[in-house]
Amino acid sequence: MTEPRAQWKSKMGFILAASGSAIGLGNIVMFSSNAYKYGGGAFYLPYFIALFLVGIPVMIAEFGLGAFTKKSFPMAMRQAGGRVGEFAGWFAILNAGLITMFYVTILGWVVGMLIRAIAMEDVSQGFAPGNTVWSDLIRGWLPVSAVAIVWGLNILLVSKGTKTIEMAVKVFVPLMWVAMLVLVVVGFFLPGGFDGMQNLFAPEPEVLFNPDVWRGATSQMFFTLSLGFGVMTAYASYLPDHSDHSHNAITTSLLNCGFEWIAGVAVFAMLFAYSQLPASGTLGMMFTVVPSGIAALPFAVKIFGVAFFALLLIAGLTSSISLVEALVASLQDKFQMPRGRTLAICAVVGFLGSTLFALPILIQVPAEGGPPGEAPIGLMLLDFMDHWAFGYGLILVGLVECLVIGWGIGAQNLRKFINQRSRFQLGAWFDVLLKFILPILLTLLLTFSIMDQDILKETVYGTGITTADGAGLWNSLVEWSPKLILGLWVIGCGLGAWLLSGATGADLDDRAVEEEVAEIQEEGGLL
Amino acid sequence: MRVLLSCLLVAILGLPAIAAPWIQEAPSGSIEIEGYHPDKNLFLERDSKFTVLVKGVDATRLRVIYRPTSKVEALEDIGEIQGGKIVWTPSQAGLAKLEAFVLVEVKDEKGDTQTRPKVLVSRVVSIKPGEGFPLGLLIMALAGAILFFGAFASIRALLRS
Repeated sequence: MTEPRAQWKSKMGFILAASGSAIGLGNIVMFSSNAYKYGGGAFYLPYFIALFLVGIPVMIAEFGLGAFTKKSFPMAMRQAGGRVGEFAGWFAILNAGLITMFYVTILGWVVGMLIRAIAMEDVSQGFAPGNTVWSDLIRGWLPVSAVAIVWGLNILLVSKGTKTIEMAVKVFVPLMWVAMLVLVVVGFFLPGGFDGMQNLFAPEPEVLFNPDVWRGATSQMFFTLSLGFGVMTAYASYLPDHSDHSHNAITTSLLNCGFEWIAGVAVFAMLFAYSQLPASGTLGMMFTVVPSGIAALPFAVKIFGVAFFALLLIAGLTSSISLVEALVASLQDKFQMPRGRTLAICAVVGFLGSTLFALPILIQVPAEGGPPGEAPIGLMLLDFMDHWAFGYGLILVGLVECLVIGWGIGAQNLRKFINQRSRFQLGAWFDVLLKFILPILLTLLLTFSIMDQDILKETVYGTGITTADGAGLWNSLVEWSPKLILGLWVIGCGLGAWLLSGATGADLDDRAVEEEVAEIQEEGGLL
Repeated sequence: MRVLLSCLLVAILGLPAIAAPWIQEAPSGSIEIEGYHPDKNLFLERDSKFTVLVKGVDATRLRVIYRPTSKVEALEDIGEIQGGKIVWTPSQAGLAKLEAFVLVEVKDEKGDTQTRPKVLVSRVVSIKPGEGFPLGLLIMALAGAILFFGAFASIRALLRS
């Protein structure tokens, strides 16, 4: 028997859930890292253009799709674009599933660091520059237990769907804002902190002529707004009929970017005050650079050390529950399974995957002075998966999504559906954007990314890694790992999507959408 | 006796390898800057002169990388270190990395000899913008205003509808 579709209890509950999903670990540290890398204040121009040209329109489309079909992403895409649409939808969900696995592993490390920070006698000494707290942690078994804790929390928070999610985000999201505002205030009063804040925004205009910066800004926008995961469509499918999707999308996007702005200001104040270089990667920033800055604080170091990892944990949880919900809702919609069973299947598979990324046997960080042949396989696995699933998967999904919505349902039909319920009226520009500009832009972005660095060039993601004594099965595996992981990602997600989209599931009444489209066209005077 | 001698021989032959990590480590030098004490809110300032002291290493030159590891990093040769000192006027604000180095000759892949810098000691420093129009502050305020006034107006409209 089909369970009735759940609904958000309040507008604010939905906004908190959607913005909580968008605001995650990446907002706190990845934005600062990117803003530094791409020229500070000058990065804000491509960033804002990407926000208004890509971020908000794609989010409106994802919200619109969910509300229009009242289905999670794969089934919504099927109604919009038939079997091809459903294939793309499942590809997105499986890709998001992979991301969830290693995202939970990272959250497991956050839990481990939180425990270490609580247990540490002298945090200012423990997290001092050059500390090995994190690398010691990931070599042990604690992260595996921590992964179980994080999955347990996810199950708990997603167990009753929108009901428990709404309860959690109403506590977590305001808490996140308060914690980040406290960090900004502390940063402001650090010696040189205000100059550091200004330094984040000091423009280096020459970067505007660098195509890499524009690509970085567009990619950043996709990741930061949780687009291409199927999350926003699933969340919007729980909205009541009269919801204002344009305003929902604008509010969610601006809140997310506002949080990023605050986080950037707080992190930069600390970096400048303690002359620390931002790490090029999110993990380095999160587990080494920012804790080193906290260790140098003149007061309440322990409180801030613990609060920082607690902040990371709740920011990560509000994102991971949305990823799990997208997965559960998709399987429920397809196979009409009871929620409990669906959640159990997702949690068991997810836990096994997350554990794989956290296994100490795979995380052989070479000890200081140790043999260089001991490659950090586990981190490599995470890094490669992150590179393909995040760097390419989301944009690929975004591209297909624009095509399916733009040409399948018809951008003009979706626009009319959204406009019927919104105070902010979308113009014909929305159709042009969804049908032509965004597909061209995202195709160019993907093409340049592939041409520029990976498969065609001798980079770590495109070729094998050379180990010190390149003999033996293990080393061969290490050397072939970039290609193997790429192959596994493409075949795993592709084959999985093909099987799931072909599987016998819910008997969708495709005519219902056709009728709705016809109704909208009639109302709009097209027929 | 033969075993003992073998052990001794292995120990002697192995000594360089055991000692290698320590030998390869950079000498424990330091870069200090007169008047730069971030903990006391004394920072470097753009377009102001500072004396840099290079201690504990025989570095001959000093260079600076502004915004290191970013896409807009800029390398600037400061000059020759004389008596462990050199005067430096930062030309850009933000994070910068000072590197004291010696020039060494190395052979490239084709076998040609080239002169390359070998960094002996480095230090990351923070440089305040000093006098001038605070463009960074303006962009910070503008970006914050767009995001937060936009979010506020949008939430208000949403709750009204």
